[in-house]
Amino acid sequence: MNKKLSILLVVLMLALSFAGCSKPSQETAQPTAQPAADEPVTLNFMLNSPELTDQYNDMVEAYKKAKPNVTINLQILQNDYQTVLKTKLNSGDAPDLFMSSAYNDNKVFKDYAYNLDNEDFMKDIDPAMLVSTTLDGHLTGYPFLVQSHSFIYNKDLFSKAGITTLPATFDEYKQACEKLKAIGVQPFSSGFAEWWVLPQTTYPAMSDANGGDYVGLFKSIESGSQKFGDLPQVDYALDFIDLIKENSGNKPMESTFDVQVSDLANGKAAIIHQGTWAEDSIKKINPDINIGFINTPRSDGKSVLAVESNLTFRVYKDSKNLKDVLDWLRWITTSDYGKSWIPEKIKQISPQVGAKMPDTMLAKETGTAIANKATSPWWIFIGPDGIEQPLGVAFQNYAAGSGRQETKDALTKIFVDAYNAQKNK
Amino acid sequence: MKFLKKRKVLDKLSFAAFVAPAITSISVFVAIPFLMCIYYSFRKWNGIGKSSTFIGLQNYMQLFTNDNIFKGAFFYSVLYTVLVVLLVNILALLIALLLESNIRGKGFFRTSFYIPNIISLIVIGFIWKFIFGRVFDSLYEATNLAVFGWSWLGDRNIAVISTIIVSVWQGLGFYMLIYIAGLQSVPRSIIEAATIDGAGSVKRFFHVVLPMIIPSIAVCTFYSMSNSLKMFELIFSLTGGGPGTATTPIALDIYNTVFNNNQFGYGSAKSVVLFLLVALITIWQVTVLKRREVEA
Amino acid sequence: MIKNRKPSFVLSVVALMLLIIMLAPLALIILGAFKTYSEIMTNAISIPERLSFQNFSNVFRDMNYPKAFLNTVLVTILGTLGIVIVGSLAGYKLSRTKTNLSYILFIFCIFPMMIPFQSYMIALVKISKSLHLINSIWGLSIIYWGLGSPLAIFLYHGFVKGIPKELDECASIDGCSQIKTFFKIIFPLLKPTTATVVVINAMWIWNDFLLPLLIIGTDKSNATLQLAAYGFMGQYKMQWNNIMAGAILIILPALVIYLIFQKHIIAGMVDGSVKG
Repeated sequence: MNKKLSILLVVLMLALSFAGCSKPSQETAQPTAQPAADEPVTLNFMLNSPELTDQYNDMVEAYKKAKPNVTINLQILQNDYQTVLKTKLNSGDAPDLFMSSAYNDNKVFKDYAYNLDNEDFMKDIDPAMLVSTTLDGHLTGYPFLVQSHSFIYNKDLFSKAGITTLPATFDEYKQACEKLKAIGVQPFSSGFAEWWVLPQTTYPAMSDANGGDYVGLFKSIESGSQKFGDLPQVDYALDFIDLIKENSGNKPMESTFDVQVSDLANGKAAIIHQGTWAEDSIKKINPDINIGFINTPRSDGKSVLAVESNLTFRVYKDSKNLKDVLDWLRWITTSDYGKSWIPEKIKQISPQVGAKMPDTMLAKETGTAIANKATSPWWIFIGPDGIEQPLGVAFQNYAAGSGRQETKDALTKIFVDAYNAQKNK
Repeated sequence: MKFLKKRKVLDKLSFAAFVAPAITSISVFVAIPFLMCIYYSFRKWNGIGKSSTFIGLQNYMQLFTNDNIFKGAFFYSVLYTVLVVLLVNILALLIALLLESNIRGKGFFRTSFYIPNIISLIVIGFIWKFIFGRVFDSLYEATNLAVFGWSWLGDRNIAVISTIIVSVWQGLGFYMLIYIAGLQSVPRSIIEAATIDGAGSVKRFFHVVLPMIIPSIAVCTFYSMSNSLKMFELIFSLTGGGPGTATTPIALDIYNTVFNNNQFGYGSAKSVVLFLLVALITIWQVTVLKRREVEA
Repeated sequence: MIKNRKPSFVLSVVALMLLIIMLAPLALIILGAFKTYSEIMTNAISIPERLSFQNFSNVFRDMNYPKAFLNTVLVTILGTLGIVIVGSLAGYKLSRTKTNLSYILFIFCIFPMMIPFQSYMIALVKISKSLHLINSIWGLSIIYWGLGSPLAIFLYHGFVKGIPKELDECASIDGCSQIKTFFKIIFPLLKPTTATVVVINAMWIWNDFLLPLLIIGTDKSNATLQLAAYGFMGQYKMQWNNIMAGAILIILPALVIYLIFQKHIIAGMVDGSVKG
């Protein structure tokens, strides 16, 4: 009997040990001293925005040439990004570098992000862009891209429809829709199948809330003295959702990012609410298209382009390859390839000081909007942790058929819940 | 005496040897994680911070009294479960009857009807997105039938129906096989006796066959109910829970709560509730089954 | 069921029509896989002008199909084998031993069947990491032993009741060790249940997605077919022609195995479910 028992235990132990031996551990055993320059190092990066996969891979190859002993492993996800990142951070299997949003994510990832305060290369980042990654005076992240979003429109279709001035108020948008319909073009492709399109469509239109004092606004929402759902801007935003939905063809709730891009590129729809990240995909389908931004109107009469550096690289505080990750960031900031990566390969706006403007239509218009001070920050991210998705879902439910008061109550509630969940942390 | 004592010890050791691998792996990979989940259901935690706070029953109170989205998910899960269980079982039984009756190529049909069940849920989501999207668009252009112009995945009510259709389509073959097994185990003698008695086929079915396949019906109902309440991957891939939260079942709401709302403790409480729901159904089914077994 | 009458033509036709409706979606996928992108966008239900294999080769390459296929086969075999062994040993012993402890352990073993995966997913990954089971095919397989045993134990437990106890007795009188007895004499008798267990678990593991995503991530060298599919399907977005070709490449192995073994598979499921 004992013999049988021990055989079983041995089998189990063998199995477990094989599991450990079958693949070399991802964490290279590092002495606390710096590894010799020629020792092979593997860095694990976890990234989202899979539309940039080609550019990520290109960068990895370039870095291999620059530093042959360093191999960068990329894990690129979109939908499950949050799940996998959080699971990995939790289980101690953290990537050396990962991406997140700015503002509130500074708090969320506080325990995991390495403070870049004393890193020399940070002075090469435009200080205005560092605001979003600063928490309690520390630089908790490295701004990756400056992105802007608003309504992207097809210039040729607009001139065909006889729209000579860009709409700047709600009523002017309505008139533009009529003119487009008159030439048989679907005005909008809503994008409402994606929950994240809803907040990005609505919050710029609400950016005059509390006179632009967002910190004050959220303070009073957190304390309960103000209800988010009661903001007059909410009604304005809901009206806009109605307008877009009525003018997005017969299946507005099935319009995904890809449908938006394809509809705009193929001339089926004239306006989509998207950002600078979409230009590449649009041009891939229709290289001859002429697009630009129309600013998003607000109830106070001003119309804005939402510009921000929100995508942030964060370095894992306890990474065994800390020095190598920082070297990579330095390379991205100071090397020739690094300086050209964002403007030329990714074709978006770089937060680095003196960076070239990418040769894209939307980036040019972003530059103009910044110069004219017709911009709004991505202010919703100053709100409570994890608010983006419930916000999107609440608006999405409205678009799917929920009542106006019901939606306002839902909006108020998600902020109350989110702040509640943050308390005592 | 000595022999008996040695026997007892050997028996105990052998019991341990047989049962240890199972107990170990289940403890390590299911029981302990689940206990951790229960632990966190009484706490407030964002899932990655290094500390959590004890808050007693607050999470539970909130989900029962102050969470419209969870309420909606609960109702959707119940509606989805009831409809899928009814449809899939009735259709599976009907097809099983058809396949067991007087047709040619029984084996061929049995094999073929089962095929949708071997496809992964991720792939099924993409397949049906294509069907409800591009295929229906083309059918609408070809036939102009209103039904193909509906927004099957975009209208909040129709999307519910879409999730049910796809789930039934996917599960049908599996339950059909179980019903076929059940039908095949009905002794011919009883059926012949009923036929000789002059019972018509419908009467014969309800009075003779149906009672004899109650075990199959019980197994299928139990399995399909439990599966439907826990359903996640198929809906995740087909509608993502949308439009809005129209097709979000409890399991997906839990996923959203934990990973998108960063509320791990609250999500854990919801998981515990889901578990209790499934456990209740399971226990009820098993009791009914045992009672019927005794009678049979 | 009915005496030797000629097969009914009407009923056979009805069955055929139902089958056509049932499998129509798959037929459309097959058609789509051979079309070009513009063909699909213009008309999704037409017959392709030419049978183009371009989509298949694109997908085959982008998905790193051979490696993903091998990984999936490995995990499925290792996982299923483990579940059969662990499950049959425990199911048999718990069924035969009529003590309170045995009953309690049995309930402990089948309890997991009621727990939704989301409930313990993060903690499971945390534990797996400390046991060095992360990003390894072996590690994933071992985790499946824990997840799949409950159902196996339930099925074996029930089936074993139908095996006469005398068989246990006579072997132990002989003096052979109990485990040897089990595998030599009892286990072969459990074939119907084993068939059921193998079928259910092999299919589930082959098609599983969320657990591999959390354990293996998207490391291409260890990806399973479902992970690879997810990866490229996210990448192709609206290129239905490629997505359909990918779907077929994923379904094909499972379909082939199914068709080859279907007699056994169906018999196993049918027998196992009746006894269970």
